[in-house]
Amino acid sequence: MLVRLLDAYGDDIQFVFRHYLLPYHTRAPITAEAAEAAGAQGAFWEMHDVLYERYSEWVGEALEDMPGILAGYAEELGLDVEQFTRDLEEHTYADRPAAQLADATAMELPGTPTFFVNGRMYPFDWGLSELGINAFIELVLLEDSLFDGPPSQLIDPAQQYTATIQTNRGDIVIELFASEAPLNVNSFIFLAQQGWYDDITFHRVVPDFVAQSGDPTGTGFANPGYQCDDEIAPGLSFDETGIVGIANAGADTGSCQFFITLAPQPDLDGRYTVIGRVIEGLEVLQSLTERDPFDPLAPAGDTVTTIVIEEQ
Amino acid sequence: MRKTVSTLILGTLAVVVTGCSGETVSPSPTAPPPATAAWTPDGCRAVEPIGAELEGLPPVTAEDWVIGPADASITFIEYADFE
Repeated sequence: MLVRLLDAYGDDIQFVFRHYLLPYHTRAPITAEAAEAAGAQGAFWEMHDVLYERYSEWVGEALEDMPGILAGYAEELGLDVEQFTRDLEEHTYADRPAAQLADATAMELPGTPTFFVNGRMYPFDWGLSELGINAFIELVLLEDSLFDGPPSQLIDPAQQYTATIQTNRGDIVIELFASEAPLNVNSFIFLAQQGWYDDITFHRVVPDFVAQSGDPTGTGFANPGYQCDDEIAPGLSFDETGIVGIANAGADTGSCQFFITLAPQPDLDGRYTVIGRVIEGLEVLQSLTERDPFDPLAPAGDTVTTIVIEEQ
Repeated sequence: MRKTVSTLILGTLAVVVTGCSGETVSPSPTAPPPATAAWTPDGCRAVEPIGAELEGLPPVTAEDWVIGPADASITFIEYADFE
């Protein structure tokens, strides 16, 4: 997973390894010292890789057999085995693992591995998922683009507004329901005018269900730094193709991500704010590339070039 | 299984995968609509970026084991043991 991460981001990422020796991992101290002892001979990462790649080979072995096993790895790596063995026996390189363990303990890190991206801790309960880690990196990188809070009122709810979603497949024109959903339409117009929606993907397109976009990271996790209450207007329903709603993660958590129904979906009524309906470009909508953001082999998807707002 | 159009949040990844994969649709409970959709300035609020910032996290120094350029836009620190 680490190798793929490094490959994916290339020169945009620096990876730092620090020791966090869990007390019930009895082989953790000696393997940490082995990596450090190898590091003293210029081969920290080589030993790091061997220890992980051949984990199943040594993890069940008795602690007293570990020096011999590790010396074997040192020999395979072309290290000075005599020096390496002496370093293990004398605990020459125990200080750094101990100091980093003290740091980790003081921070009350939840377990191993714990990741930080630009100083922000990866949510431990997301689990060791490549998808989750990639999404987290993208969210941290988005941080400079987030807004400090919600927009002020930009619209007159009594006015008529249209939004033209320009895509690589053509335009989709939406009539916005400013009077029925003023908060969410105001937010949508604000984000469109700020360029939030420029050059992003329809990250989730499920035939006969919805096409979803509005997330610059393309992961489905992003918000713009604020969220808004749902506005469930009587008389508005997702019971047609081309109804535009605001996606959410539960009641009153909607923000930038929007979706458009690809078939009638009255089951969504009451749970999502309707902000508009497609008045032109249904054929463009239906031509969008199917995409599952959870599929690591998903295609790039179709692109929202920009969204142009017009007051009628 | 009820279909959802979710934005994903901390801790919901697995749940949402399940929620998105279903093809059947069941009736959803519908909350009573608000009496009006009037503008309320408190209807939107700031949210914190995801991921805690811990004060005790030491900066990356020359003492660290590092792969990749120091001026990279992403600094990824792993705390782990080998077991």
